[in-house]
Amino acid sequence: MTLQEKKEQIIEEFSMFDEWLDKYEYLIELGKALAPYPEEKKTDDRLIKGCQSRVWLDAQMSGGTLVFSADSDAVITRGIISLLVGVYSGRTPQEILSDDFSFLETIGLKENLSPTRANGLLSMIETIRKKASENV
Amino acid sequence: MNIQQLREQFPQLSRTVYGKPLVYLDNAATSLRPQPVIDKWTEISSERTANLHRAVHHIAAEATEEYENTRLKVAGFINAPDPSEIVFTSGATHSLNLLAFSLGEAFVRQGDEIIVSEAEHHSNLVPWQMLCARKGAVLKRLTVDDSGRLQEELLPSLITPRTRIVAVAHISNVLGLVNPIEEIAAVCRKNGVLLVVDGAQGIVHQQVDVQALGCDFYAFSGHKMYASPGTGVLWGRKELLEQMPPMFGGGEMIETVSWESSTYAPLPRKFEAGTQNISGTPTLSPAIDLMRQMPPQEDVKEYVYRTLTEEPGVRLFGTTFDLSLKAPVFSFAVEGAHHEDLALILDKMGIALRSGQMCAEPLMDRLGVTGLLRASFAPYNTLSEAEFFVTSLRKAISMLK
Ligand SMILES: Cc1ncc(COP(=O)(O)O)c(C=O)c1O
Repeated sequence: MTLQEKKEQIIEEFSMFDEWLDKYEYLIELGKALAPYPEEKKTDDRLIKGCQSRVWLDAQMSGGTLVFSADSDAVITRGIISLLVGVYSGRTPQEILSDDFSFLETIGLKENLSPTRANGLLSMIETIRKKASENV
Repeated sequence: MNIQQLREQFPQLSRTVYGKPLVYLDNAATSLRPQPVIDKWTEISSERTANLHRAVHHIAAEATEEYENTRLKVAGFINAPDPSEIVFTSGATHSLNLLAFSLGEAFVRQGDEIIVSEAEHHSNLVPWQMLCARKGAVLKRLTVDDSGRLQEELLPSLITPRTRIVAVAHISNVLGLVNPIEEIAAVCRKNGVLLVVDGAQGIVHQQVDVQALGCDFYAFSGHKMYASPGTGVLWGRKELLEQMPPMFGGGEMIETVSWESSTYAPLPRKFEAGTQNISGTPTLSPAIDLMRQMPPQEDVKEYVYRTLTEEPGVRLFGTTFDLSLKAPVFSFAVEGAHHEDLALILDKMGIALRSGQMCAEPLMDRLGVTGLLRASFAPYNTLSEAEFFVTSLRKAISMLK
Protein backbone atom coordinates (compact mmCIF):
# COMPACT_ATOMS: atom_id res chain seq x y z
CA MET A 1 0.00 0.00 0.00
CA THR A 2 1.32 3.45 -0.81
CA LEU A 3 1.59 6.10 1.87
CA GLN A 4 -1.41 7.86 0.35
CA GLU A 5 -3.51 4.69 0.31
CA LYS A 6 -2.60 3.87 3.90
CA LYS A 7 -3.64 7.33 5.06
CA GLU A 8 -6.93 7.09 3.18
CA GLN A 9 -7.60 3.74 4.79
CA ILE A 10 -7.16 5.22 8.27
CA ILE A 11 -9.28 8.26 7.46
CA GLU A 12 -12.01 5.90 6.25
CA GLU A 13 -11.81 3.84 9.45
CA PHE A 14 -12.05 6.89 11.67
CA SER A 15 -14.94 8.34 9.71
CA MET A 16 -17.11 5.58 11.16
CA PHE A 17 -16.78 7.02 14.66
CA ASP A 18 -18.71 10.12 15.61
CA GLU A 19 -18.27 9.67 19.35
CA TRP A 20 -14.98 10.44 21.09
CA LEU A 21 -15.54 7.35 23.23
CA ASP A 22 -15.48 5.09 20.19
CA LYS A 23 -12.35 6.80 18.88
CA TYR A 24 -10.57 6.29 22.18
CA GLU A 25 -11.73 2.70 22.38
CA TYR A 26 -10.34 2.08 18.91
CA LEU A 27 -7.03 3.76 19.80
CA ILE A 28 -6.86 1.65 22.98
CA GLU A 29 -7.37 -1.49 20.88
CA LEU A 30 -4.65 -0.41 18.46
CA GLY A 31 -2.39 0.37 21.40
CA LYS A 32 -2.87 -3.04 22.92
CA ALA A 33 -2.18 -4.72 19.58
CA LEU A 34 1.02 -2.79 18.85
CA ALA A 35 3.93 -5.12 18.09
CA PRO A 36 6.19 -5.66 21.12
CA TYR A 37 9.12 -3.28 21.41
CA PRO A 38 12.44 -4.66 22.72
CA GLU A 39 13.21 -3.69 26.33
CA GLU A 40 16.86 -2.98 25.46
CA LYS A 41 15.74 -0.25 23.08
CA LYS A 42 14.00 1.68 25.87
CA THR A 43 16.99 3.96 26.16
CA ASP A 44 17.12 7.66 26.98
CA ASP A 45 18.30 8.62 23.50
CA ARG A 46 15.15 7.02 22.07
CA LEU A 47 12.86 8.77 24.55
CA ILE A 48 10.66 11.52 23.08
CA LYS A 49 10.39 14.72 25.10
CA GLY A 50 7.16 16.63 25.51
CA CYS A 51 4.89 13.72 26.34
CA GLN A 52 3.37 13.14 29.76
CA SER A 53 3.78 9.44 29.21
CA ARG A 54 7.10 7.97 28.20
CA VAL A 55 7.47 7.33 24.47
CA TRP A 56 10.38 5.54 22.82
CA LEU A 57 10.95 5.65 19.09
CA ASP A 58 13.55 3.62 17.24
CA ALA A 59 14.41 4.25 13.58
CA GLN A 60 16.59 2.06 11.37
CA MET A 61 17.44 2.41 7.67
CA SER A 62 16.76 -0.79 5.78
CA GLY A 63 16.94 -1.13 1.97
CA GLY A 64 16.50 2.63 1.44
CA THR A 65 13.48 2.94 3.72
CA LEU A 66 13.10 3.96 7.34
CA VAL A 67 11.73 1.30 9.65
CA PHE A 68 10.14 2.62 12.84
CA SER A 69 9.27 0.80 15.99
CA ALA A 70 7.96 2.50 19.09
CA ASP A 71 6.39 2.06 22.49
CA SER A 72 4.78 4.00 25.29
CA ASP A 73 3.71 3.22 28.83
CA ALA A 74 0.30 4.81 28.11
CA VAL A 75 -2.09 2.89 25.91
CA ILE A 76 -3.84 5.74 24.07
CA THR A 77 -0.41 7.04 23.12
CA ARG A 78 0.49 3.54 21.95
CA GLY A 79 -2.56 3.65 19.74
CA ILE A 80 -1.42 6.88 18.14
CA ILE A 81 2.07 5.47 17.76
CA SER A 82 0.60 2.45 16.06
CA LEU A 83 -1.09 4.75 13.52
CA LEU A 84 2.11 6.68 12.88
CA VAL A 85 4.28 3.59 12.58
CA GLY A 86 1.71 1.97 10.28
CA VAL A 87 1.74 4.96 7.95
CA TYR A 88 5.37 6.02 7.96
CA SER A 89 7.39 2.85 8.56
CA GLY A 90 8.88 1.34 5.40
CA ARG A 91 8.81 4.68 3.51
CA THR A 92 11.79 6.46 2.05
CA PRO A 93 13.03 9.55 3.90
CA GLN A 94 11.94 11.70 0.91
CA GLU A 95 8.40 10.34 1.09
CA ILE A 96 8.20 11.15 4.78
CA LEU A 97 9.62 14.63 4.36
CA SER A 98 7.22 15.51 1.57
CA ASP A 99 4.19 14.49 3.66
CA ASP A 100 2.40 17.11 5.74
CA PHE A 101 1.03 14.74 8.44
CA SER A 102 -2.37 16.40 8.10
CA PHE A 103 -4.26 13.10 8.13
CA LEU A 104 -4.03 13.26 11.94
CA GLU A 105 -6.13 16.40 11.87
CA THR A 106 -8.52 14.87 9.38
CA ILE A 107 -9.24 11.99 11.72
CA GLY A 108 -9.81 14.48 14.53
CA LEU A 109 -6.86 13.52 16.69
CA LYS A 110 -5.39 16.95 17.14
CA GLU A 111 -8.69 18.50 18.06
CA ASN A 112 -9.61 15.52 20.18
CA LEU A 113 -6.55 15.39 22.33
CA SER A 114 -5.63 17.66 25.19
CA PRO A 115 -2.98 20.36 24.69
CA THR A 116 -0.30 18.36 26.48
CA ARG A 117 -1.27 15.35 24.43
CA ALA A 118 -1.19 17.39 21.25
CA ASN A 119 2.32 18.48 22.22
CA GLY A 120 3.29 14.86 22.68
CA LEU A 121 1.84 14.11 19.27
CA LEU A 122 3.76 17.00 17.75
CA SER A 123 6.98 15.79 19.39
CA MET A 124 6.43 12.36 17.86
CA ILE A 125 5.92 13.87 14.42
CA GLU A 126 8.97 16.09 14.81
CA THR A 127 11.09 13.08 15.78
CA ILE A 128 9.91 11.09 12.75
CA ARG A 129 10.72 14.02 10.45
CA LYS A 130 14.09 14.52 12.10
CA LYS A 131 14.98 10.86 11.57
CA ALA A 132 13.95 11.21 7.92
CA SER A 133 16.06 14.31 7.33
CA GLU A 134 19.07 12.68 8.99
CA ASN A 135 18.81 9.84 6.51
CA VAL A 136 18.16 11.52 3.15
CA MET B 1 -23.82 30.39 53.17
CA ASN B 2 -24.85 27.05 51.67
CA ILE B 3 -23.06 25.32 48.82
CA GLN B 4 -25.60 26.40 46.21
CA GLN B 5 -25.17 30.04 47.19
CA LEU B 6 -21.42 29.54 47.07
CA ARG B 7 -21.54 27.99 43.61
CA GLU B 8 -23.51 30.94 42.30
CA GLN B 9 -20.50 33.14 43.07
CA PHE B 10 -18.27 31.28 40.59
CA PRO B 11 -19.24 31.98 36.95
CA GLN B 12 -16.98 29.27 35.54
CA LEU B 13 -18.94 26.58 37.35
CA SER B 14 -21.77 27.09 34.90
CA ARG B 15 -19.76 26.48 31.78
CA THR B 16 -19.63 23.29 29.77
CA VAL B 17 -16.84 21.36 28.08
CA TYR B 18 -17.52 19.08 25.12
CA GLY B 19 -21.18 19.83 25.73
CA LYS B 20 -21.05 18.45 29.28
CA PRO B 21 -21.14 20.36 32.56
CA LEU B 22 -17.63 21.15 33.75
CA VAL B 23 -16.59 19.27 36.87
CA TYR B 24 -13.55 21.17 38.05
CA LEU B 25 -11.36 19.01 40.27
CA ASP B 26 -8.03 20.72 39.67
CA ASN B 27 -8.35 23.23 42.48
CA ALA B 28 -4.91 22.51 43.92
CA ALA B 29 -3.43 23.80 40.66
CA THR B 30 -5.56 26.92 40.69
CA SER B 31 -8.96 27.67 42.15
CA LEU B 32 -11.76 29.30 40.22
CA ARG B 33 -12.45 33.00 40.56
CA PRO B 34 -15.60 34.22 42.37
CA GLN B 35 -17.61 37.19 41.14
CA PRO B 36 -16.51 39.54 43.99
CA VAL B 37 -12.88 38.97 42.96
CA ILE B 38 -13.67 39.59 39.31
CA ASP B 39 -15.65 42.69 40.33
CA LYS B 40 -12.83 44.03 42.47
CA TRP B 41 -10.35 43.69 39.63
CA THR B 42 -12.75 45.37 37.23
CA GLU B 43 -13.61 48.12 39.70
CA ILE B 44 -9.98 49.02 40.31
CA SER B 45 -9.15 48.83 36.62
CA SER B 46 -12.05 51.03 35.64
CA GLU B 47 -12.09 53.49 38.53
CA ARG B 48 -9.01 53.41 40.67
CA THR B 49 -5.94 52.91 38.52
CA ALA B 50 -2.97 54.87 39.79
CA ASN B 51 0.51 54.09 40.94
CA LEU B 52 0.91 53.69 44.68
CA HIS B 53 2.65 55.77 47.32
CA ARG B 54 4.17 58.08 44.73
CA ALA B 55 1.77 60.82 43.82
CA VAL B 56 -0.21 63.47 45.61
CA HIS B 57 -3.26 63.18 43.43
CA HIS B 58 -6.59 61.88 44.66
CA ILE B 59 -6.73 58.61 42.75
CA ALA B 60 -3.24 57.63 43.88
CA ALA B 61 -4.36 58.09 47.46
CA GLU B 62 -7.44 55.92 46.90
CA ALA B 63 -5.41 53.20 45.20
CA THR B 64 -2.81 53.25 47.95
CA GLU B 65 -5.48 53.03 50.61
CA GLU B 66 -7.08 50.03 48.90
CA TYR B 67 -3.72 48.29 48.63
CA GLU B 68 -2.74 48.97 52.23
CA ASN B 69 -6.16 47.92 53.52
CA THR B 70 -5.56 44.61 51.79
CA ARG B 71 -2.34 44.29 53.75
CA LEU B 72 -4.27 44.81 56.99
CA LYS B 73 -6.82 42.24 55.94
CA VAL B 74 -4.18 39.63 55.08
CA ALA B 75 -2.38 40.30 58.36
CA GLY B 76 -5.63 39.66 60.23
CA PHE B 77 -6.36 36.56 58.16
CA ILE B 78 -3.14 34.82 59.18
CA ASN B 79 -2.89 36.55 62.57
CA ALA B 80 0.39 38.28 61.78
CA PRO B 81 1.41 40.46 64.73
CA ASP B 82 2.30 43.43 62.51
CA PRO B 83 1.00 44.33 59.01
CA SER B 84 4.47 45.50 57.97
CA GLU B 85 5.44 41.82 58.06
CA ILE B 86 3.17 41.17 55.08
CA VAL B 87 5.15 41.42 51.83
CA PHE B 88 3.10 41.26 48.64
CA THR B 89 4.66 39.16 45.89
CA SER B 90 3.52 37.62 42.62
CA GLY B 91 2.95 34.22 44.22
CA ALA B 92 4.37 31.46 46.38
CA THR B 93 7.22 30.84 43.95
CA HIS B 94 8.23 34.49 44.07
CA SER B 95 7.96 34.50 47.88
CA LEU B 96 10.15 31.42 48.23
CA ASN B 97 12.77 32.64 45.78
CA LEU B 98 12.89 35.99 47.55
CA LEU B 99 13.39 34.15 50.82
CA ALA B 100 16.06 31.80 49.52
CA PHE B 101 17.96 34.77 48.17
CA SER B 102 17.58 37.28 50.98
CA LEU B 103 17.71 34.82 53.83
CA GLY B 104 20.69 33.19 52.19
CA GLU B 105 22.53 36.49 51.89
CA ALA B 106 21.86 37.30 55.52
CA PHE B 107 22.41 33.99 57.25
CA VAL B 108 23.94 31.24 55.09
CA ARG B 109 27.70 30.63 54.74
CA GLN B 110 29.75 27.97 53.03
CA GLY B 111 29.30 24.58 54.67
CA ASP B 112 25.98 25.50 56.31
CA GLU B 113 23.03 23.17 55.87
CA ILE B 114 19.49 23.58 54.59
CA ILE B 115 16.96 20.82 55.28
CA VAL B 116 14.12 20.40 52.79
CA SER B 117 11.43 17.76 52.79
CA GLU B 118 11.35 15.20 50.03
CA ALA B 119 7.67 15.90 49.34
CA GLU B 120 8.16 19.52 48.31
CA HIS B 121 6.81 21.25 45.25
CA HIS B 122 9.74 22.28 43.03
CA SER B 123 9.06 25.88 44.08
CA ASN B 124 10.17 25.00 47.60
CA LEU B 125 13.14 22.93 46.47
CA VAL B 126 14.83 24.54 43.48
CA PRO B 127 15.37 27.97 45.17
CA TRP B 128 17.17 26.16 48.03
CA GLN B 129 19.26 24.18 45.56
CA MET B 130 20.20 27.48 43.92
CA LEU B 131 21.08 28.96 47.30
CA CYS B 132 23.26 25.94 48.13
CA ALA B 133 25.05 26.24 44.79
CA ARG B 134 25.61 29.96 45.34
CA LYS B 135 26.88 29.67 48.90
CA GLY B 136 28.50 26.24 48.90
CA ALA B 137 25.90 25.09 51.41
CA VAL B 138 24.61 21.54 51.80
CA LEU B 139 21.05 20.43 50.98
CA LYS B 140 19.73 17.74 53.30
CA ARG B 141 16.63 15.64 52.85
CA LEU B 142 13.84 15.12 55.34
CA THR B 143 12.26 11.90 54.09
CA VAL B 144 8.69 10.63 53.80
CA ASP B 145 7.54 7.04 54.36
CA ASP B 146 6.03 4.71 51.72
CA SER B 147 2.59 6.32 51.99
CA GLY B 148 4.06 9.80 51.73
CA ARG B 149 3.86 10.80 55.42
CA LEU B 150 6.60 13.21 56.44
CA GLN B 151 9.00 11.55 58.90
CA GLU B 152 9.26 14.60 61.12
CA GLU B 153 10.52 12.38 63.95
CA LEU B 154 13.81 12.17 62.02
CA LEU B 155 14.28 15.94 62.03
CA PRO B 156 16.18 16.22 65.36
CA SER B 157 18.77 13.72 64.13
CA LEU B 158 19.27 15.65 60.88
CA ILE B 159 19.94 18.97 62.57
CA THR B 160 23.57 19.82 63.30
CA PRO B 161 25.22 23.02 64.53
CA ARG B 162 25.60 23.97 60.83
CA THR B 163 21.88 23.77 60.06
CA ARG B 164 20.41 27.19 59.27
CA ILE B 165 17.04 26.62 57.60
CA VAL B 166 14.30 23.99 57.43
CA ALA B 167 11.85 24.39 54.53
CA VAL B 168 8.65 22.38 54.46
CA ALA B 169 5.13 22.62 53.08
CA HIS B 170 2.20 23.13 55.42
CA ILE B 171 0.20 20.80 53.15
CA SER B 172 1.77 18.85 50.28
CA ASN B 173 0.19 19.58 46.91
CA VAL B 174 0.43 15.88 46.05
CA LEU B 175 -0.40 14.13 49.31
CA GLY B 176 -2.82 16.59 50.87
CA LEU B 177 -1.48 15.76 54.32
CA VAL B 178 -1.21 18.49 56.93
CA ASN B 179 2.32 18.49 58.28
CA PRO B 180 2.78 19.03 62.03
CA ILE B 181 4.23 22.52 61.73
CA GLU B 182 3.94 23.33 65.45
CA GLU B 183 6.09 20.33 66.35
CA ILE B 184 8.61 21.01 63.60
CA ALA B 185 8.75 24.65 64.74
CA ALA B 186 9.46 23.59 68.30
CA VAL B 187 12.40 21.46 67.16
CA CYS B 188 13.70 24.31 65.00
CA ARG B 189 13.36 26.88 67.76
CA LYS B 190 15.17 24.65 70.25
CA ASN B 191 18.09 24.35 67.82
CA GLY B 192 18.17 27.95 66.62
CA VAL B 193 17.12 26.96 63.08
CA LEU B 194 14.82 29.09 60.91
CA LEU B 195 11.60 27.49 59.68
CA VAL B 196 10.17 28.38 56.27
CA VAL B 197 6.67 27.10 55.54
CA ASP B 198 5.33 26.82 51.99
CA GLY B 199 1.69 27.59 52.62
CA ALA B 200 0.48 27.49 48.99
CA GLN B 201 -1.96 24.68 49.87
CA GLY B 202 -2.10 25.28 53.62
CA ILE B 203 -3.71 28.71 53.29
CA VAL B 204 -6.56 27.15 51.31
CA HIS B 205 -7.44 24.33 53.67
CA GLN B 206 -6.40 25.43 57.16
CA GLN B 207 -7.17 28.36 59.40
CA VAL B 208 -3.66 29.71 59.46
CA ASP B 209 -2.34 31.46 62.55
CA VAL B 210 1.33 32.13 61.95
CA GLN B 211 1.95 32.90 65.61
CA ALA B 212 0.38 29.65 66.77
CA LEU B 213 2.25 27.69 64.09
CA GLY B 214 5.50 29.11 65.41
CA CYS B 215 7.24 29.27 62.04
CA ASP B 216 9.47 32.14 60.94
CA PHE B 217 8.15 32.55 57.38
CA TYR B 218 4.95 31.60 55.61
CA ALA B 219 4.54 31.89 51.82
CA PHE B 220 1.44 31.55 49.63
CA SER B 221 -0.23 32.42 46.33
CA GLY B 222 -3.47 34.33 45.76
CA HIS B 223 -4.66 32.29 42.79
CA LYS B 224 -5.15 29.10 44.79
CA MET B 225 -7.30 30.97 47.34
CA TYR B 226 -9.75 32.41 44.80
CA ALA B 227 -7.92 35.74 44.30
CA SER B 228 -6.27 37.02 41.14
CA PRO B 229 -3.29 35.19 39.63
CA GLY B 230 -0.04 37.10 39.96
CA THR B 231 -0.69 37.86 43.62
CA GLY B 232 0.99 36.34 46.61
CA VAL B 233 2.23 36.88 50.11
CA LEU B 234 5.36 36.38 52.10
CA TRP B 235 4.93 36.70 55.83
CA GLY B 236 8.06 36.81 57.95
CA ARG B 237 9.01 37.74 61.48
CA LYS B 238 9.90 41.41 61.55
CA GLU B 239 13.29 41.12 63.23
CA LEU B 240 14.34 38.64 60.52
CA LEU B 241 12.94 40.57 57.56
CA GLU B 242 14.76 43.63 58.89
CA GLN B 243 18.08 41.83 58.80
CA MET B 244 17.59 40.55 55.25
CA PRO B 245 18.82 42.48 52.20
CA PRO B 246 16.32 43.01 49.36
CA MET B 247 16.41 40.80 46.28
CA PHE B 248 15.20 43.40 43.78
CA GLY B 249 16.16 47.04 43.65
CA GLY B 250 14.21 49.97 42.22
CA GLY B 251 10.87 51.70 42.65
CA GLU B 252 9.64 52.46 46.12
CA MET B 253 12.01 50.11 47.93
CA ILE B 254 14.50 52.89 48.60
CA GLU B 255 14.83 55.53 51.23
CA THR B 256 17.58 57.56 49.57
CA VAL B 257 19.58 57.01 46.42
CA SER B 258 22.88 58.68 45.62
CA TRP B 259 25.13 57.85 42.70
CA GLU B 260 27.25 55.52 44.82
CA SER B 261 24.69 53.71 46.91
CA SER B 262 21.19 53.55 48.36
CA THR B 263 19.51 53.05 51.65
CA TYR B 264 16.36 51.00 51.77
CA ALA B 265 12.81 51.80 52.73
CA PRO B 266 11.38 50.29 55.90
CA LEU B 267 9.32 47.09 55.78
CA PRO B 268 7.45 45.99 53.82
CA ARG B 269 8.38 48.34 50.97
CA LYS B 270 11.99 47.18 51.06
CA PHE B 271 10.82 43.92 49.47
CA GLU B 272 8.27 45.38 47.03
CA ALA B 273 10.41 46.83 44.27
CA GLY B 274 8.75 48.12 41.12
CA THR B 275 5.11 48.90 40.48
CA GLN B 276 3.01 46.56 42.58
CA ASN B 277 0.19 44.39 41.23
CA ILE B 278 -2.18 47.29 41.76
CA SER B 279 -5.29 45.63 40.31
CA GLY B 280 -4.57 42.09 41.47
CA THR B 281 -3.41 42.32 45.07
CA PRO B 282 -6.59 44.03 46.38
CA THR B 283 -8.60 41.01 45.13
CA LEU B 284 -7.17 39.16 48.12
CA SER B 285 -9.70 41.12 50.21
CA PRO B 286 -12.93 39.81 48.69
CA ALA B 287 -11.32 36.36 48.43
CA ILE B 288 -10.67 36.35 52.17
CA ASP B 289 -14.18 37.62 52.91
CA LEU B 290 -15.62 34.76 50.90
CA MET B 291 -13.31 32.13 52.41
CA ARG B 292 -14.54 33.12 55.85
CA GLN B 293 -18.10 32.23 54.80
CA MET B 294 -17.42 29.02 52.90
CA PRO B 295 -19.32 25.98 54.15
CA PRO B 296 -17.27 22.97 55.29
CA GLN B 297 -17.08 20.01 52.89
CA GLU B 298 -16.40 17.11 55.21
CA ASP B 299 -18.94 14.86 53.46
CA VAL B 300 -17.22 15.20 50.07
CA LYS B 301 -13.79 14.58 51.57
CA GLU B 302 -14.93 11.55 53.55
CA TYR B 303 -16.79 10.06 50.58
CA VAL B 304 -13.86 10.41 48.16
CA TYR B 305 -11.32 9.22 50.71
CA ARG B 306 -13.35 6.17 51.66
CA THR B 307 -14.15 5.27 48.04
CA LEU B 308 -10.59 5.60 46.78
CA THR B 309 -9.09 3.65 49.68
CA GLU B 310 -11.57 0.82 49.17
CA GLU B 311 -11.55 0.75 45.36
CA PRO B 312 -9.81 -2.37 44.00
CA GLY B 313 -6.72 -1.56 41.93
CA VAL B 314 -6.53 2.03 43.17
CA ARG B 315 -3.57 3.04 45.30
CA LEU B 316 -4.14 6.30 47.15
CA PHE B 317 -1.09 8.11 48.51
CA GLY B 318 -1.21 10.34 51.54
CA THR B 319 -3.44 8.10 53.66
CA THR B 320 -4.10 8.92 57.30
CA PHE B 321 -6.12 7.68 60.26
CA ASP B 322 -7.23 11.20 61.05
CA LEU B 323 -9.08 12.86 58.19
CA SER B 324 -8.89 16.22 59.94
CA LEU B 325 -5.21 16.12 58.95
CA LYS B 326 -6.00 15.59 55.28
CA ALA B 327 -7.02 18.21 52.75
CA PRO B 328 -9.37 17.12 49.94
CA VAL B 329 -6.41 16.55 47.63
CA PHE B 330 -6.28 12.95 46.40
CA SER B 331 -3.36 11.60 44.40
CA PHE B 332 -3.50 8.01 43.30
CA ALA B 333 -2.26 5.38 40.90
CA VAL B 334 -4.42 2.77 39.19
CA GLU B 335 -3.01 -0.67 38.61
CA GLY B 336 -2.72 -1.42 34.89
CA ALA B 337 -3.87 2.06 33.79
CA HIS B 338 -1.61 4.98 32.99
CA HIS B 339 -2.46 8.31 34.62
CA GLU B 340 -2.33 10.07 31.26
CA ASP B 341 -4.85 7.68 29.68
CA LEU B 342 -7.20 8.11 32.62
CA ALA B 343 -6.90 11.90 32.54
CA LEU B 344 -7.59 11.99 28.80
CA ILE B 345 -10.72 9.89 29.13
CA LEU B 346 -11.98 11.78 32.20
CA ASP B 347 -11.39 15.06 30.35
CA LYS B 348 -13.80 13.90 27.68
CA MET B 349 -16.36 13.29 30.39
CA GLY B 350 -16.07 16.92 31.46
CA ILE B 351 -13.83 16.32 34.47
CA ALA B 352 -10.77 18.54 34.87
CA LEU B 353 -8.07 16.96 36.96
CA ARG B 354 -4.32 16.79 37.05
CA SER B 355 -2.05 13.99 35.90
CA GLY B 356 1.69 13.65 35.85
CA GLN B 357 4.44 14.56 38.26
CA MET B 358 2.73 17.62 39.71
CA CYS B 359 5.95 19.61 40.09
CA ALA B 360 7.27 17.14 42.64
CA GLU B 361 9.64 14.83 40.79
CA PRO B 362 11.70 13.79 43.83
CA LEU B 363 8.49 12.71 45.57
CA MET B 364 7.44 10.68 42.51
CA ASP B 365 10.84 8.96 42.60
CA ARG B 366 10.41 8.23 46.29
CA LEU B 367 6.93 6.79 45.79
CA GLY B 368 8.23 4.73 42.85
CA VAL B 369 5.81 6.12 40.26
CA THR B 370 6.29 8.04 36.99
CA GLY B 371 3.25 10.16 37.75
CA LEU B 372 -0.11 10.14 39.48
CA LEU B 373 -3.66 11.27 38.92
CA ARG B 374 -4.85 14.01 41.29
CA ALA B 375 -8.39 15.09 42.08
CA SER B 376 -8.47 18.16 44.31
CA PHE B 377 -11.73 19.55 45.66
CA ALA B 378 -12.87 23.01 46.70
CA PRO B 379 -15.83 23.88 48.93
CA TYR B 380 -17.91 24.54 45.80
CA ASN B 381 -17.56 20.92 44.63
CA THR B 382 -20.72 18.99 45.47
CA LEU B 383 -21.17 15.43 46.65
CA SER B 384 -22.87 14.62 43.35
CA GLU B 385 -19.80 15.88 41.46
CA ALA B 386 -17.68 13.60 43.65
CA GLU B 387 -19.99 10.69 42.86
CA PHE B 388 -19.84 11.49 39.16
CA PHE B 389 -16.05 11.53 39.39
CA VAL B 390 -16.01 8.08 41.00
CA THR B 391 -18.41 6.57 38.43
CA SER B 392 -16.46 8.14 35.58
CA LEU B 393 -13.18 6.89 36.98
CA ARG B 394 -14.58 3.34 37.15
CA LYS B 395 -15.75 3.63 33.56
CA ALA B 396 -12.35 4.93 32.40
CA ILE B 397 -10.56 2.11 34.21
CA SER B 398 -12.77 -0.50 32.60
CA MET B 399 -12.11 1.01 29.15
CA LEU B 400 -8.40 0.58 29.71
CA LYS B 401 -8.52 -2.90 31.20
C1 LIG C 1 2.73 23.33 47.69
C2 LIG C 1 2.97 24.33 46.59
N1 LIG C 1 4.04 25.14 46.66
C3 LIG C 1 4.28 26.08 45.73
C4 LIG C 1 3.48 26.23 44.63
C5 LIG C 1 3.82 27.27 43.61
O1 LIG C 1 2.82 28.22 43.55
P1 LIG C 1 2.81 29.32 42.40
O2 LIG C 1 2.95 28.60 41.11
O3 LIG C 1 1.49 29.98 42.56
O4 LIG C 1 3.94 30.24 42.66
C6 LIG C 1 2.37 25.39 44.50
C7 LIG C 1 1.49 25.51 43.32
O5 LIG C 1 1.36 24.64 42.50
C8 LIG C 1 2.11 24.43 45.50
O6 LIG C 1 1.05 23.61 45.42
